[in-house]
Amino acid sequence: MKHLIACLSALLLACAVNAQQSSGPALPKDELIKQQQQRVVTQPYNNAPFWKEARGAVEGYASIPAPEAGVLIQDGGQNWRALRNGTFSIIGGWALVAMMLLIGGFYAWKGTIQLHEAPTGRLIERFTLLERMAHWATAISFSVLAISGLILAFGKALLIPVISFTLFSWLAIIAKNLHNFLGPLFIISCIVTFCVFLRDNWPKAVDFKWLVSFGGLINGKHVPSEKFNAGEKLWFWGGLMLLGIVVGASGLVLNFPNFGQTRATMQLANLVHLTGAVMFMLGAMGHIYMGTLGMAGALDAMKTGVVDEAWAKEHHELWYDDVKSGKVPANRSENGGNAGAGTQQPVAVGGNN
Amino acid sequence: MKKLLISLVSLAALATFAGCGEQPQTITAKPGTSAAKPDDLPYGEGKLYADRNAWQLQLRARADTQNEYKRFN
Amino acid sequence: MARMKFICDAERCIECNGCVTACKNEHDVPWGVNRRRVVTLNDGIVGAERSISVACMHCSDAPCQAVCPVNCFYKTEDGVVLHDKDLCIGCGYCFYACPFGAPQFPQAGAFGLRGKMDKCTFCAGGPEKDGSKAEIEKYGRNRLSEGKLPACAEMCSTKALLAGDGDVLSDIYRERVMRRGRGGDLWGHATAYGRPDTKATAPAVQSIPQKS
Ligand code: SF4
Ligand code: SF4
Repeated sequence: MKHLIACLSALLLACAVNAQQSSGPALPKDELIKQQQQRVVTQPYNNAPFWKEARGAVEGYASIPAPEAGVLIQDGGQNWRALRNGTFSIIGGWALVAMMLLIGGFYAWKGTIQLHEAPTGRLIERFTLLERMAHWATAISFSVLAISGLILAFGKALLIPVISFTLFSWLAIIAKNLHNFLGPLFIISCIVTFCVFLRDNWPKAVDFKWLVSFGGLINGKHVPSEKFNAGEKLWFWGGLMLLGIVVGASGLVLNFPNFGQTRATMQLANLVHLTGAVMFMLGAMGHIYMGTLGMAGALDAMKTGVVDEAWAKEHHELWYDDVKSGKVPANRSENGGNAGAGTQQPVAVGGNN
Repeated sequence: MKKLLISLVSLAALATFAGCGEQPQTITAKPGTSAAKPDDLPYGEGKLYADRNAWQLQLRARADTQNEYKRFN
Repeated sequence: MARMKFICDAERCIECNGCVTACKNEHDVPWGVNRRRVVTLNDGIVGAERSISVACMHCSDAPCQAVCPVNCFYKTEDGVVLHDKDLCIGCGYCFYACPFGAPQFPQAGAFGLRGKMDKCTFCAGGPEKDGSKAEIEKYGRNRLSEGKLPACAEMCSTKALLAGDGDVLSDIYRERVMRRGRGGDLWGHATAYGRPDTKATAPAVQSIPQKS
């Protein structure tokens, strides 16, 4: 699956980069100028070299102070159109459908994964208020961006036939403005979330064991994991960080067209944005599924911040052990924020002596 | 509950199917008609030109005035 | 059936920007929006310099129409590409797609937030009632419905820019091509602005100013 996604994205990006390179004159500009000067003498009124320059997006002079006003023809748009309306919409759309079906199938197979032991009633703090706020700010802005983005990308085909042009136009105006204004907010909340969760997502050797057996899902054997298992860490690094950068940067290029970026840049940025966004949504679908329907207790953890000891032991055994041994305080909020998670607490030290 | 959810998910999936293929990029409306509201034609009742033919003849004649070979000879 | 077209004769355009001004004036186009512009390539290089006036070319298979997420474009019976500003959301996609840079956006807020797209209408207005106040405010004058052709072309002093039914334009242009350069028809860019020094082709070419 991951390989598939990697291959797909590489392919799409290669396509995108290729597409944008098609403009440019057939010969160097100076050569064409020379030819044009000779034509005036040898074949008057034959301006073929000049038209080759025009066709090749050579920038000339225009009295209008707008970026690229001096370019007569920029043909990258036609490639962009073909890719956006064709390849990217088709692959992206089907990928989303496939993921939906995959998750549906998985749910039919496994259902909600319940706790195997009865809850103990003793609670451990899993997320501080700051962590939860950062998470939900990211989650909510992501959802709004995803939905508004889908409306703008697929609404023409899906919604216009249903709700007609005028109504869809209103919807699209709302979607566009939400998308444009929440975009920068999403980037900020991504950065905050990244900082807040960075420490607990540092990759460790145990993560590989987890990954190999996919968290024990494949062979049914239990694999202990830290506070975050390898799947969550993958989402942290590959999703939040990597896709966050890809989608965020390309989004900013499109959102702020007033820095003189050219059409070629924006066409490329749009395709990168589409690719990144589809992959982000694929990941998010998995993440949301595991956090809500897929696993009992996961949503409560992010809602209330606390989990039952039984849940911690079952899903994040190494973290549970750390909490039990006092390496990680059971309640970080009361110990002055997240003061020294992972360091010895005074109480524990006293006990050891 | 489970069945309901599964059918909901597959319904959503089906709905997304429709958006995946390449769409014909023409509008369904008749030519000369905006998608949302019809554009009135420049000829007919209450217009300068009685019918399309009259209007086209006028535009042709007008375009021909751009030909100075005709204008001067 | 007519097929409305623009054509600009590179041998005749003298970069006077009359068409640009005519357009601005005819439609009261706001500041910052340019439905038409004149582009000069190889500016100042004797023999190689040519100018072209460009606006929306009213494509048969219009990329702008294909990418518009709200599908607000439509074509008239005569192949004029028009759009409905009431539907437009100002996303800028048509601008990415258009090869001629025709779609323009009034800035509608901070950070380059785009307003409703504005472009050349071939002086055919929009979906509002022909010649109504609403149409003039949103799209400018509707000359086509009055039996007139686009103001830019009708205004063009050298008749470099032509507008109208493609068949008529082809006839005009064909006649020009057949007659120019002979007899009294010695017009053209080189006649007006000179040729490069032919006796010493090499030095003339070397004297091309190099833009760095
Ligand atoms: S706006 Fe551009 S793409 Fe659209 S019809 Fe005009 S020239 Fe063609
Ligand atoms: S800016 Fe307006 S006309 Fe252009 S693609 Fe977007 S909605 Fe369509």
